[in-house]
Amino acid sequence: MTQHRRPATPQAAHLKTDQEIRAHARTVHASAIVIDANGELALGQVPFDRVTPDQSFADAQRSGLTALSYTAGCWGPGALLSYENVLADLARWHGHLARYRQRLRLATCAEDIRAAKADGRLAIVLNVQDASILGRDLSVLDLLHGFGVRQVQLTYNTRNLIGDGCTERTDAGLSDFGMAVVRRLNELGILIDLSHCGRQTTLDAAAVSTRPVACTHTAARARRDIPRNKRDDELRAVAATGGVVGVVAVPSFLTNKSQATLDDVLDHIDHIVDGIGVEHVGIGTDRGVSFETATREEYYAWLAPLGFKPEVNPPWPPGVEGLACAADLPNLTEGLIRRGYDDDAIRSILGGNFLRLYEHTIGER
Amino acid sequence: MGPRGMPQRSAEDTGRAERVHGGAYVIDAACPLVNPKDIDQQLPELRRGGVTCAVGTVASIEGSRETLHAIAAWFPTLRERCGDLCLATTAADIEAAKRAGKVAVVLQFQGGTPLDYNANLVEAFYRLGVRVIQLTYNERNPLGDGCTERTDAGLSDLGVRVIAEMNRLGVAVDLSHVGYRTSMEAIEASAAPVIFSHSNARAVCDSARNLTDDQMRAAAARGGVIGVNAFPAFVARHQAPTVEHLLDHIEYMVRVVGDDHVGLGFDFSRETEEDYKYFKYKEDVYPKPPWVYPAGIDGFAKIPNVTRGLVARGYSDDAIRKILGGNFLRIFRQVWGG
Repeated sequence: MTQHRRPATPQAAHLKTDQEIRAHARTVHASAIVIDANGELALGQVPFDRVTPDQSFADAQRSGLTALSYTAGCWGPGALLSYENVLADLARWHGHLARYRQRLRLATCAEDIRAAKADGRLAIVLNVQDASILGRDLSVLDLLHGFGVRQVQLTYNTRNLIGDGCTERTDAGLSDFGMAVVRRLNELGILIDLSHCGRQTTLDAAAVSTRPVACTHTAARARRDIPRNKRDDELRAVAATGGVVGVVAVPSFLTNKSQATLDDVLDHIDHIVDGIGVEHVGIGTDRGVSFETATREEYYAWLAPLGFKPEVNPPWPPGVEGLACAADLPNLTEGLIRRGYDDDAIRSILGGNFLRLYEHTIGER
Repeated sequence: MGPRGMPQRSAEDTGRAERVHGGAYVIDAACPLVNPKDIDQQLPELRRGGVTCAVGTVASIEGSRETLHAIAAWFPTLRERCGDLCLATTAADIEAAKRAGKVAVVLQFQGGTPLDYNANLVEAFYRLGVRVIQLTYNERNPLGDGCTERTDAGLSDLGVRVIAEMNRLGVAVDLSHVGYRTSMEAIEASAAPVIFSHSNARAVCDSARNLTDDQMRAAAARGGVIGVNAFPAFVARHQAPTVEHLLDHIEYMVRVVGDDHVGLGFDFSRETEEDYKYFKYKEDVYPKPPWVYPAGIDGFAKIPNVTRGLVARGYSDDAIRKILGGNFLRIFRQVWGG
């Protein structure tokens, strides 16, 4: 039987001083494959972006990230709901990957992530967050696969032809077409992401998929009752496939307090580890590698058409204290040590679990 | 009455049927064959059938772009056939067509997919002349679930917004093909009466495409109208359907909801194996083509047989006129204005 709980005796007990803990955190963090299963690297695609590519790469260095999954089309007209916009952004990113090849590497298999760790580059897993861009044409998935996309979320917040998003008034499960989409994603070797999906769509997809599935960026509904967070039964269903749940660094998903802190992130991690086991937990910040620079107006203008409702509308400014962006990820490692996780558990949460998941979905090589 | 399908008629009945039919507004609320490509072939049929108004399907599962082109194709056709056809966007247009001896064409969607995910497109298509929007085809779309979908989801948030837009502008909400829960929620959500443009009674012929009594009652309670459908698999299941089976549906509906709420929506169509795949029909609901329409009502030209049958079954002139088109004309006036 797998060990589901954190060790009763913290392995870090021998670490006495803050200095010792920080030094140990640096060692663990540096040795780990760190994966942000839903993040953002600013390379000029954000219209109100004030982060330069140099700053982005410096922050990526500071984050210790090995791989980051980027959402194609998350900016631009129609954002991630527009087929044209998603394809244009994918094309743009292939340009970035060529131009910054000293810094970046496209990841289309697990080996690409290991190789990125070895040569000090950042692996980019391209994802699509609303499969409504397929229309009713499964072959668009082949096109996305050909473009290097290896992670597809079935729905965004609202209903599409596949299933219901989590803010819909209804809770429909997968449609007939949705079942066919899951089968095709399984065949192609694309990771199925259920983060924004409604409960029944999440449960149906976990039941139907022949490969493990993920919620790359969510939190525990038992700790914060908003539609974007996953109930315990959904978390269990994802884990039962061998899947992984990535915890976000979005303040309003974590707590109703006016300022979320790293402790809130850790509380969600603890809850999910206790519920489904440490081997099923990861990180999906839903944040940039660098700190957000959007003004309040810019930020809400971008969110408006994406089907968020007031109760889940992420507040501005968007940062968690201590984990405002992926560059702060070393703080998370330190926090996990203080919460008593052992080194292996920490490395699995930081990226080991998502790496295993990618091996089982997009393939080893 | 003689053997089924061939009622004996007196000369007096025949004369009465011709008179009533000729004077009536005859509205077919679901006409996939009334489109720019088929209209030349269908026009003589429509004429022979005495059709005043044909609700022509311009889209059912297509997106905004394809639909825009399908609507655009109508404009030159309407211009070139202006002696025979006119576009109807008001009830007065249908009345004027009757006076002028033309066939009025209403633009209809048999599914909400042309709206993409954008409720503002309701007004865009309204301005192009679309006056009937069926919320879903058979499968799920962004507004709701169709009647052959594996699930029975209700209206989506977008579906609620789209109905509000249709109500505001004056576009008829059509619930044929729509799944049970979506249809019941739409009747509830709509401020205006709704139509089932082409649906039969499930109690008479058990098909996922046909209506339960409570769907019919819910629509009628708000002033809605149900068009009886001639698609063979929805008329009778275990025998070759005839016009008499279709009349059985009318009789049943009149018994359940009254003669103010029944109309015609024959759904005459002609599809290939390729179309069958495109629409992803499920075989337990839609047999493979070719589809053989019921004897006695296998095309527009045979619509007078329905009038003859209603006369033979003892309907009053007034009731027959309502069923042939008076009810749809009433609801169109109410919903569209004018």
